[in-house]
Amino acid sequence: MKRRKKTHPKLNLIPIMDAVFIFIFFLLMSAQFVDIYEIGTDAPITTSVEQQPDKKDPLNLKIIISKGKLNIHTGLDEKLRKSVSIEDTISFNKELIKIKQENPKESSAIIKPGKDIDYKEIVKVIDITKEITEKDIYVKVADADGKSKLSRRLFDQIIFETME
Amino acid sequence: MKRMFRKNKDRGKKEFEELDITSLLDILVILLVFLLKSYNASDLKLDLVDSLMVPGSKSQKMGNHAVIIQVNKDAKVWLNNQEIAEVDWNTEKIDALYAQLELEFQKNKENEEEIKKMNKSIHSINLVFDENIKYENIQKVMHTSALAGFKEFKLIVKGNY
Repeated sequence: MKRRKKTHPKLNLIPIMDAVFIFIFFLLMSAQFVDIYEIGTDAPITTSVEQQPDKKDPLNLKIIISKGKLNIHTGLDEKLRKSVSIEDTISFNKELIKIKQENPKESSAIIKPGKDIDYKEIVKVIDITKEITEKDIYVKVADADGKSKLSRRLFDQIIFETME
Repeated sequence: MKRMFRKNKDRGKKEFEELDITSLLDILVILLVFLLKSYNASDLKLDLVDSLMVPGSKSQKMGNHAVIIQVNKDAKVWLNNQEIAEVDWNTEKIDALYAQLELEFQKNKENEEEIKKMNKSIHSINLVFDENIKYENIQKVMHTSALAGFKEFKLIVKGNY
């Protein structure tokens, strides 16, 4: 009696290849090759409301962008704290770190660009205002429960001011 | 002669050799990995209008689907990829845009419950501006949007900057 030679059946790859092809087409159709993100901002301040006097002076951080210059104002009287060149992003960020260290609970900044300022400059300023640019630097911030923690976030609530 | 005949007969019976798809599979796997890496889970689908350069940013917040306004470098305005004709930039409120935005806000109000179920706001609007556009124009678009009910502005930027 002859013994039959054992033959290993070949793996049928056709169904898996069908699935891979469908998957590739799905991914190709849904792929966005430009990474799109958003920066959340609030409506411009268009009216002024008389405020009740506070126990502590609010920070009222305001960044005025003019041609080639960034002016940082603070306080209710909008006192000029520092003026830096628009190119000097490091000094600008360092000043914001100092302000954040002094006011760990504050997280909003008002941005007032000049009418002739390019959008890309505004986005650049927003980026620097929102986060620490240098590596390995953290600031103490207060979370919702009042506990302090280390963070790289500075002033991430951006409000545009349009009032003249 | 007999031998030759047998040869011809064998040739007729020859089976087709199996196609070697190993290299094809290699390519497919690489393509799959590349596509999976570039896959974006955001539900915001953006078809940029012609000659619009989105500024780069360090922001990492994913965009969400909402009404989209696009303004290119020639200050032409698109609402949900439909161009708004006769935009008058001399007034604070852009009337042509306002009329369209009001309709969009009405639609949002009608679908308010569905939008809220998706943890979105009916007041959100995606603003896509060319990187060289002046703030004067941006301010007018924002002002018009806010008047129509869209008060939460999402500035759309290019990531990995």
